[in-house]
Amino acid sequence: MSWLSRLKNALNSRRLDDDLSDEIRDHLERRTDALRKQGLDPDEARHKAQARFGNATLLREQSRGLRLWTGLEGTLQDIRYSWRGMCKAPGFALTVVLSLALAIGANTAIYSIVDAAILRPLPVGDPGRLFRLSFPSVSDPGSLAESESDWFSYPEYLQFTAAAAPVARLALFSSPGRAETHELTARAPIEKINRAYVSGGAFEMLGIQPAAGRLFSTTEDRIPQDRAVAVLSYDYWRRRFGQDPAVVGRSIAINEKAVEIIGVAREGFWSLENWSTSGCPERCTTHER
Amino acid sequence: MANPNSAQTALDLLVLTVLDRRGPLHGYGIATAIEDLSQEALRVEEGSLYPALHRMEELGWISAEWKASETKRRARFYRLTKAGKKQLANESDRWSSFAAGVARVLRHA
Repeated sequence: MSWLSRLKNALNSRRLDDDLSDEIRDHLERRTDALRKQGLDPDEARHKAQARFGNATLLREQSRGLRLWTGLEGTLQDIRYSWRGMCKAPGFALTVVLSLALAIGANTAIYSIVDAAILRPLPVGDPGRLFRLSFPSVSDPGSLAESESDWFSYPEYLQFTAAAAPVARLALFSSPGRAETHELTARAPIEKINRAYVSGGAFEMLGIQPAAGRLFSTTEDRIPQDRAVAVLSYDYWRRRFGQDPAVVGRSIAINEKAVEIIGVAREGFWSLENWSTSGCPERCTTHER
Repeated sequence: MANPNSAQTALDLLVLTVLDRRGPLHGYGIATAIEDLSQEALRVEEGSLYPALHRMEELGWISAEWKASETKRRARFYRLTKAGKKQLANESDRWSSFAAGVARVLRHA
C-alpha cells in the first residue's frame, strides 16, 4: 500500500473502520452459519464463532495501524477539532484571524518600504555621490523642508551646470506623467504609459548603460530640436516588444507625436523615484523647469 | 522483517499457497481452506489472519477488492499479485529446506 493510499485512508478513516467491521462481521456470520449447519443452536454458534475468531478489537487496532499513519490521523483529528472550536465561536475566530492578518500585512508593508527605500541601493552607478537639489520656498523664507521646491527652470539648470562645471555634473528630471502611445500604423491600439523628460546628460551622469541601442547624449539638448527621441525602460521593452533589438530606430507615437526609439536602459533602472516601471523617458524638450 | 522461520512467516506462506491454488478468496474462505487442508492440525486463531492479510496487502503480495459473494453478501476478496507469486516461490523453497532440516534433526538426534 502506497503512502497515497495511506493518506486516503487517514482522510477517510471512518470508511476504513467500516471496511474492517464489515470484513469481521462477514467472517463471523459465515462461521456462525457453518456451525449452525453442524447442528449448533444459534446462540451457541455465535459464541463459538467469536471464540474461534479471537480478540476483534485488538485485530482492528493492528490493521488500522498498518493501513494508515496513526500520527497523520492524529494531526487530522487535531485540525478537525480546532475547526469545530472555531465554528463554535465564529466571532472570536474571525477577530483573531483578522488581527493576525492585519498585523502580518502591516509588517510586510513596512518591511517592503524599508527594503525599497533604505536597504536596496539606488539603481545608479554611484549612489553615495548622488544629490538631489532643492531650495526653500521664496514665499515662506526661513521655514524647513516641507515647503522646499525642486523645480528648476531650464535657464537655471544651464546656469547651475556652468557654475558647478568641473566639480559636479547636473541633470534635470521631470516628474513622471501619463501619456498615450501607439504604433505608427492606422488604427493601432492605444496604450497608456508613464514617461518622464530628462536632460541629455542624465543617463551619463547616473552611470546607466544601455541594454540596446544608445542612451541620450548632450547633443539631444540642442534647441530647436530636429526630432523627438525616446529611451525605453527595460521592463517596458520586455513586456511590450519581447526584448526585440529591432525596436531601436523605429518610431512610435507618444501623445500623437512621432518619437524615435534610440535605445533601452539597462535592466533594473527605471527612475530615481518610484514611478511605474513602464517609464519612457524622452529627451528634455521644454524650457520650463 | 520478522524472523524468517517464525509462525508469522508460516502463516504468510499458508495464505499465499491457498490463494495460489484456489484463486481469489475472502478471509473466511482462506481460514477454512487452511483448516481443511491441514486436517485441522493448523487451527490458527481466525482473527489473527486479518492483520496478516492486511500486512501482505501493504507489502503488495496480495490485492483486495470488495465483491458480492455467492450468497450476495459483500465480501473482501484477496488475490495473489505477481510480487506475491515471487515471494511464494522463494519462501516455499526456503521453508521446505528449513522443515526438512528440522525433520532430519528430529529423526536422527
